[in-house]
Amino acid sequence: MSALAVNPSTRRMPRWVFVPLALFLGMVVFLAVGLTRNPQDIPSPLIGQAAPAFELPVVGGSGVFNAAQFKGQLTLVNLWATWCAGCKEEHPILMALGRQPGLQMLGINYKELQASELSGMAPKSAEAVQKATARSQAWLQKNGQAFGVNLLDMDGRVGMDFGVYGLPETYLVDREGVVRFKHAGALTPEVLQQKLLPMLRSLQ
Amino acid sequence: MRPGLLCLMVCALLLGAPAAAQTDAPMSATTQARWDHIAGELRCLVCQNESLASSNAELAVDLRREVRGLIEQGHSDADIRSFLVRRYGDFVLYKPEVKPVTWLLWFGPFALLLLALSVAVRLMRRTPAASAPLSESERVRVRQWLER
Repeated sequence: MSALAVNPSTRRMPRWVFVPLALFLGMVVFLAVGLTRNPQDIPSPLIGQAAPAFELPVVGGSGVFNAAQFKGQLTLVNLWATWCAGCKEEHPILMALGRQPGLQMLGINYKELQASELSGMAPKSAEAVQKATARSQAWLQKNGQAFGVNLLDMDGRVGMDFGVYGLPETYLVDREGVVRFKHAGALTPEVLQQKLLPMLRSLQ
Repeated sequence: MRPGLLCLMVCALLLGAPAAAQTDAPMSATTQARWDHIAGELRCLVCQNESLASSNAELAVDLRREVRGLIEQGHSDADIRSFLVRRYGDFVLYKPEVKPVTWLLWFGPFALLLLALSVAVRLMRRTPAASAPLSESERVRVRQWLER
């Protein structure tokens, strides 16, 4: 029997042989985790930066809101539209947040009239603004006045400065006017409890 | 509306529609050349597997208009890229900048390849130790088996 046994010295592999295998396994773990992540969750480069400068007309009012007004107040900025299903879904959460003391609720109605509805009208024409205003107000009347201030971003230029890529999106701007938090997609009770509320508490 | 769903619908609706940098007027030749150069490198954030040049999502249309405006105002490609990166992050670039955060992304595969090659080379270079010659009694046993 011993005649056919292989000489053990040819069998023994040095330990470094397993390094690529270990690296490969590491990569598998890396990619497996990557697969479970939501590709729509793109980290915002705005976090920790000053909110973009803008000035937009207040819906149903005569004034404007300027980004300089972020200073001194904690503000929740919600980009929404009446054509966005997720916005309706998250609205009760916004209503609840509106009851939080010391939090200014700012709605930005993003591109209320989309390209197909503008049909040749300029986005900021009086006619388009009038139509969007009526729709925006009717929707809030029906679903709840969650916003202390509601703005019209007809051409989506301000949304673009915020880095919007799908509605709804929610941002938290601190008293210094710095963006501290962003959530893309409808707010859920989990996001509220695990991320937004702790962030709010830490900033208040 | 969920971005993914919106994207699917928009993409399905407009499948086959030409998606050049269509805004209003045709571009001048120089603008067109710059456009062709940069737009394919930019990712549409709504339809993530499409470039900004080919996507028909509404945001892509807006961003194309914006990029075209920047080109016509004489901004450099680097300006345009940074305009988009400031808003949407490195994600918007199909070719992210080479910087410490992206080193792993850029050089990781090459490092792995080198490592694997060096292991392979070292393995191949190892000469297997010669096995001990059979003793006389072993030879006899082998012969017996073979003749059985």
